[in-house]
Amino acid sequence: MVKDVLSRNNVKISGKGTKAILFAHGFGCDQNMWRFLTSEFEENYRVILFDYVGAGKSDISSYNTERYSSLQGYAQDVLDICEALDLRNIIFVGHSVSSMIGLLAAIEKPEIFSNLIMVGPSPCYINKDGYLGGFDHKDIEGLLETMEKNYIGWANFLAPQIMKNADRPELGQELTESFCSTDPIIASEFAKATFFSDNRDDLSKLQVPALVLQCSDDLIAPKEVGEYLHKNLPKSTLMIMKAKGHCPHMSEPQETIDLIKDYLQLRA
Amino acid sequence: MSDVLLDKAPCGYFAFSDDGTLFEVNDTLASILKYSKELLIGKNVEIIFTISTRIFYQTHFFPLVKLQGHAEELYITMLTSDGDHLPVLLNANRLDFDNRKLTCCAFITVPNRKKFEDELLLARKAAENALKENTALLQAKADLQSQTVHLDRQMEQAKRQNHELKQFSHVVTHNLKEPLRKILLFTDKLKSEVQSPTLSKLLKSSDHLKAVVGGLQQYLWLNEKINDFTQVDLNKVVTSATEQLYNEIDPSLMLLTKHPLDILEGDREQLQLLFYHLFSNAVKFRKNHQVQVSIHSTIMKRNVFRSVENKYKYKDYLKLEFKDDGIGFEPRYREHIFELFRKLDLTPGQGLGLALCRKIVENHFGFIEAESEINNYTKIIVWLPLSQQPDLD
Repeated sequence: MVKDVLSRNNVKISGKGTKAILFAHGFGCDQNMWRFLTSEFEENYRVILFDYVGAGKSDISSYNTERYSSLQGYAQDVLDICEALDLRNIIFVGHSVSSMIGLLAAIEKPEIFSNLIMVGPSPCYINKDGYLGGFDHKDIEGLLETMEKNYIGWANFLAPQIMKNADRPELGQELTESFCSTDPIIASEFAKATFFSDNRDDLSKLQVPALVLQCSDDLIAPKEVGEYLHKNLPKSTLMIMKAKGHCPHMSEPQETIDLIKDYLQLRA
Repeated sequence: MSDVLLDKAPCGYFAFSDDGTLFEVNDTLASILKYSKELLIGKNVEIIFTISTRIFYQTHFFPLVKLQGHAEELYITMLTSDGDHLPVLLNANRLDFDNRKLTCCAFITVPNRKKFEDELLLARKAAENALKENTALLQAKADLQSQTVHLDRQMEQAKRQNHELKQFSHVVTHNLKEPLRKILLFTDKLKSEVQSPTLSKLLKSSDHLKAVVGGLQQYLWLNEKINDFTQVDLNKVVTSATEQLYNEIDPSLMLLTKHPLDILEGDREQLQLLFYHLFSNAVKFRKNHQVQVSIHSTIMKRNVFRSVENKYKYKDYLKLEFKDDGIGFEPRYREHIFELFRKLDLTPGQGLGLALCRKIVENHFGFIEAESEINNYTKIIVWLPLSQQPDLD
């Protein structure tokens, strides 16, 4: 079972420390997106990376539509990994939708988590009942269509790429690493689970201290959403980043590292 | 290549930095999107994308180009200054320029292909759906068939066991109770006639046996009882359970801190018994004169399927946490403590309370867990579904 989970979720462990820091990727990518951050934490932490089932190099055959049509199913992945590695008191770093996945996991098993670090989080992406998430249903439908179009015909952006081993022809052709999830149905189901989720009612249930890293000028998680989270998460700290866009860990890795370290020092 | 040629090239061209700022655009782009060049430079690149493409840019395009250094054959939709949507095919690469990293993109518009593609996609989706439904249907049919057989066997077994249990319970309640009553009566009578330490030992053992039979009877009652599910306010149930307990013990032995609890569908009588036994246990296994008990409840989603593999349906459960500051137990006994007549110590009682609790929780299709640290605390965690309806949707 232990081995199964570790290979199912393509778990990678590095670092010299004892305290575990678990990085959870967001929708649209896999654990590779953390590569600009991890080396900075390896000195003092046990760094754990993984891919959600359906993403990256996870075991696609473990994918189950019923389970993964809810963020709860993804939270189960996190808990499965923590159980398999017998983790306690970990720091959980989640990008985007993984912030809410971490939230759900930490509500269910608070004893596993010492801190949650949420990078560009949002509890609800759709505008409703006076709440401004930033999007309407049709925007998300448009995203689903864009994703589908990138799998067919000549728009092959999301499909696995063929690598031509020009220098070593004996290898022939093989599939290259594909950073995005490669299965169109899984990707579309993850998109729906992400963008149609509403975890606003869960925020007050979190007992674990949380850091909200809010980017300036982030279309997917606007500043108002960051403030909403800060107001509704019981033990939260809000830090506004200089980084723009939705992926500060990729566009401004140093600022992201510094803020996470500052926060952890403050909490220690 | 001269800038003039790039400006007039038959493709839209733009370059932006990692924070999304547009660094350069060519004339072709400006004319396709109906902007003046000067207006676009320095703006966020998202301005020329539709909202859906902006999400796609943040979740897929940017992370991928940043990791791979290039991206080919992207289908995205551009937004013109007057709000028109323009489908394009785009290639991108990352270049070092003037000490900064730029993402450079070239695109061609593909307005006519979109229609063709939409049709293609529609046809493919229809085919995929048909296939998926068919495969899913066949799979469901096979699953159902095997589960029906399985279920039938289990029902048969359950029926048989239930019958045996009823007979057994009859034996316990009547055939055992009656002679026991007589033994107690006669021993008591004998006590007034003869003085002997053996006799008081006999009396003590008989009393113990009587308590065991009584406990068993209660357990069997829970087994046979038909659940009477209604909406139950747990706050009221806790109050009744504490009152029941305070009738038997000195109320100063327990200090209860209760956070507001929720309303759930359950059997009121059984739930009161559950709380009663949990409180009673906390008092029994207290460390100091007074035991401090706290009850905390949270609603969260859990998979309702617990025996069938690979089935998922998330429903609301109430997670109830009872924590006391009592003597605790060794963590390795976490499972044992819920077993019938399992005792870990020499304190009074038959080791029945937690077995009854588990029975009640199981009658509600919930589950019960425990964690503890010796001489520190015991925490009993009870998960109960908020609703008892096995809704299918």
